[in-house]
Amino acid sequence: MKRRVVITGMGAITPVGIGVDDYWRGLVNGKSGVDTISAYDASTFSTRIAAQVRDFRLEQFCAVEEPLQCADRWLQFALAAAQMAVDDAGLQPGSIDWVNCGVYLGAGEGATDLARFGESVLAASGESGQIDPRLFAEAAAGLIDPMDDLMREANMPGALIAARFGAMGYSSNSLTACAASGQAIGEAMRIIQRGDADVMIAGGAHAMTSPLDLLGFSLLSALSKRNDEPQKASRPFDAHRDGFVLGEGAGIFILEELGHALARKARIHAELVGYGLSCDAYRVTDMHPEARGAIIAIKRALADAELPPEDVDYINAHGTSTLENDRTETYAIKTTFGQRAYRIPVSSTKSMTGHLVAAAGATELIACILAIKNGVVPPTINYEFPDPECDLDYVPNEAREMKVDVALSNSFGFGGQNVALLVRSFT
Amino acid sequence: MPTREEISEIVIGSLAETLGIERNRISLDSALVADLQAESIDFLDFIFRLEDAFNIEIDRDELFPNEIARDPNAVQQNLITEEGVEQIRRRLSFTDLPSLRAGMDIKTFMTEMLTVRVVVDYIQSKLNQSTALAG
Amino acid sequence: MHSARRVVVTGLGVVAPLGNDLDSFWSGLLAGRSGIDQIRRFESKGFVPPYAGEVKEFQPEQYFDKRKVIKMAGRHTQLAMAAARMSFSDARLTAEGLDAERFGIVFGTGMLRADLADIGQMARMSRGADGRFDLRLFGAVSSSKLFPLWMLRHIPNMVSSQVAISLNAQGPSNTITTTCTAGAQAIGEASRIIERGDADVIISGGSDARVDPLSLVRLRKLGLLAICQRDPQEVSRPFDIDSSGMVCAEGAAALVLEELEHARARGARIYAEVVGYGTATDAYDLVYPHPEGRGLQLAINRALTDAHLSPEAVGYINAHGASIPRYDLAEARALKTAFGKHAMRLAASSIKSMIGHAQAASGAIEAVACVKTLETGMAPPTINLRRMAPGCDLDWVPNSARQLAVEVAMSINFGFGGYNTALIFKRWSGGV
Repeated sequence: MKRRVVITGMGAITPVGIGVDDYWRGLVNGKSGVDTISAYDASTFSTRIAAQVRDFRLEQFCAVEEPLQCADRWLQFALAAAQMAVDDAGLQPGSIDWVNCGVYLGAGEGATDLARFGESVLAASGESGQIDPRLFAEAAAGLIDPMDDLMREANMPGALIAARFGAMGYSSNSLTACAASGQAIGEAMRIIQRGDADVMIAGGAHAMTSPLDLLGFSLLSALSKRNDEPQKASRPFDAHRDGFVLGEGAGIFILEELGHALARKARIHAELVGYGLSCDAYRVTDMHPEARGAIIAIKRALADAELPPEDVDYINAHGTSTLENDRTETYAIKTTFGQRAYRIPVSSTKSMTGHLVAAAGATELIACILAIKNGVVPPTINYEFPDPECDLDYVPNEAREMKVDVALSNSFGFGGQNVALLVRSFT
Repeated sequence: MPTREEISEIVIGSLAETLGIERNRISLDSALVADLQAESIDFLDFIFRLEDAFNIEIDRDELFPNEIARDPNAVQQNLITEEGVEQIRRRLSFTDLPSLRAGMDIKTFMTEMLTVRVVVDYIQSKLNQSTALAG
Repeated sequence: MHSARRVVVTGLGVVAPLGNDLDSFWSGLLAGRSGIDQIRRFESKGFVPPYAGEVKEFQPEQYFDKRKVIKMAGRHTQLAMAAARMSFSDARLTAEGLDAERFGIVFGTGMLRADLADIGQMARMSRGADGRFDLRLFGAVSSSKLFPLWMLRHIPNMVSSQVAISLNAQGPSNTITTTCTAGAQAIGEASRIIERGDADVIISGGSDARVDPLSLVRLRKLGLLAICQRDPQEVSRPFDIDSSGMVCAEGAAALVLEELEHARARGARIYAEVVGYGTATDAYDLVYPHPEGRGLQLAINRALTDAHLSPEAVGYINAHGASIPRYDLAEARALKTAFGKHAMRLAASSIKSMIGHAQAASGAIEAVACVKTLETGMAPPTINLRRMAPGCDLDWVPNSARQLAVEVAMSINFGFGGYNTALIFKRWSGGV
């Protein structure tokens, strides 16, 4: 008998809302979290917009020692979201077996301290145009705080969360790009199903909005250049889309074995019923033109959940707003669901939050669960010009009331990693 | 101002380095996608090298008529219309497109039309423009 | 393991400071040779420290079908590709013989976000009027002069992605980023995927290539690197009283994990069986292990439970042995607690004494060595062990390799953030 896995706690930090309720309000009101970048001077970058989290203060969510108050944003998001999830699940010290509670995240890495790196390079740059590595290292040694630097490793959010709650269980960190937190949630589900844990903390955090991140994706022509209309830049499935908008945030869950949750009378948000995983193994950045990997992942999730395609009521798309993803994902949905694809609402909340990269899967799964609980599907905003190759019902511009029992969340990562998660209402 | 032959040499050399293949595998008639399997990141690299080699700025949209491809007047049911042929010829006026005709599949056109010759024509026209502006 | 599906090792590949292939790596280990030397990657005279465990004379071209990929593959990707392809050949796998959708790649890796070659050159051109680094200038210069595919070299999942593309592995894949234990966890995670039925073959391993000025400075300032006036080959001395820290190294290793019946059906040569995987966090400190190694104890116990084995069943341990005194002591204590009286009868060696600490790759490189010990009945030594540090008084196979016929061997591994891993392998005597 397969052990069942339910969600008993959620925490979210996003560009459209801080906290699950605020996030949901932002989504159903079609709020855009995109704006001109204010955290640094991006005026000479070809993309100057991002979806930033505003007015966030870690102290509002958990008491922290000084060093963490200055820690990289994404660490703070992860901690705050984890605290929210733990509180939401009603977990206290001593209330569960924390020793066997694991932390499986799909967290990104911290931002490079570009200013210090740059200063170190300048200190080591000679007339000849060469950078003397020894001088560079000495300058860096003076400028870079090694703890600060170490704390930018991708497993630090997980390590801090584990230390905070005394969680010593089965823990790891996936960094499969945009599929990372979706994968982490799926793997955490498997750990509980196998019997290696009864409770897992899972999700992701990322703040890939720093100058180097912006630069990297810009040079790959992946980002929207609609700098004069930031709020309209993220427009998944729209004919005039021109790339994605980087965002930041965190989504953390408490996953729990059903019997364990019932025994402690936990409030259950939803049940996690299916996880499918695949790799395109096609090209470094281009998706397979016939979406072979995406289709395999969705079909595997359905098989895992023992659900036929007809049972899916809502799809939260990966929907990045790139020409290629949206077209290929549409094709994948049509191939998997056949004619019925035209009757399933498909929306991309990235139209509002931007692309949270490693944290996307987690925050989008939260949107799916809230759609189930509230009987409302969030919209794809900025939908103005239909693209003949993207002809599904994308819930254009306004949230829609409808009963959702089963929702599918897609995450198709850069490099070809594909994750599909299925979540169902729990009564 | 380099000769056409010099331009061709540099274009072929840059393409060979981008794709990691021998120069002798590339001719003026080689289609970047259909024959040489160039993918998006190869185009990014190739354009970067060309910009550096010729000291010009290249807008990918000038080489790839992407939004014409998505214009319902120009392409219907994946086939290029008469209007589409007109638009493409106007846009890519720096080169001949002998195989382009109405009724052609847009995907076939996109993968086959971009040959080394078209790139050389494009570079030549850009260099002529800047010479004209300078002069 | 819980289920009916068993996981075996059918191929090995390694690129390490002692050799760029399995045979030279293994014979180097048994000979007690050191791969640690003066750094050649950059001008290191006067640099502190001037030595590291570098992979020498590595030629990536032979491992890439498409040469164009090399320029967008960082060194850690290149090393991983080499190890993965070697393991694929070693396992005598062929593309035609595999169901692509049930063939996956799981790698653990470290990350380097900015290096002197790419970003460094852009920074060099971003000196503002006041002589300081100017972000606006940097943005302008980089937008036109920076190699557009630069970021692909640094995205961690490009390792698994490039290997998957190269070998047409369309099955479940993952990229693990838990610093020094990433490679070991990758192997464990891969074994779970096969065990649960989602794949039949997974190439799993780890890769790390951070012998560079910035990474070395970071480790040095954290107080973890050995800084001493010794012959480089004597600097890495795990469990020795005169150890002053670790030696940074690079490398990659890959193990082909395969479902047993799948391996039997194709007549594969089987090295060993993966019988146990346990992992745990210390939940204590970000840099140092818990003084009693409580997370490591948990990982060991979980692996033993997973394998349905008692501690006495383990004959040999491939230790973490980082040569950092606080780490070594915590490890020794954890072993004594987890194995009780049996700890004094165990043989445990640290190959980091010879190749240094290759961080995310170390767990995978050490798993390869552990499997080779089972296959050959030979345990590599812990070299440079003259006098054991107080509390580190176990049998570390000091200085010379030893004949050691064991049925069960464990590989342990832990690192920054307090993540700990134990893998248990069993000798394969079942024939094909």
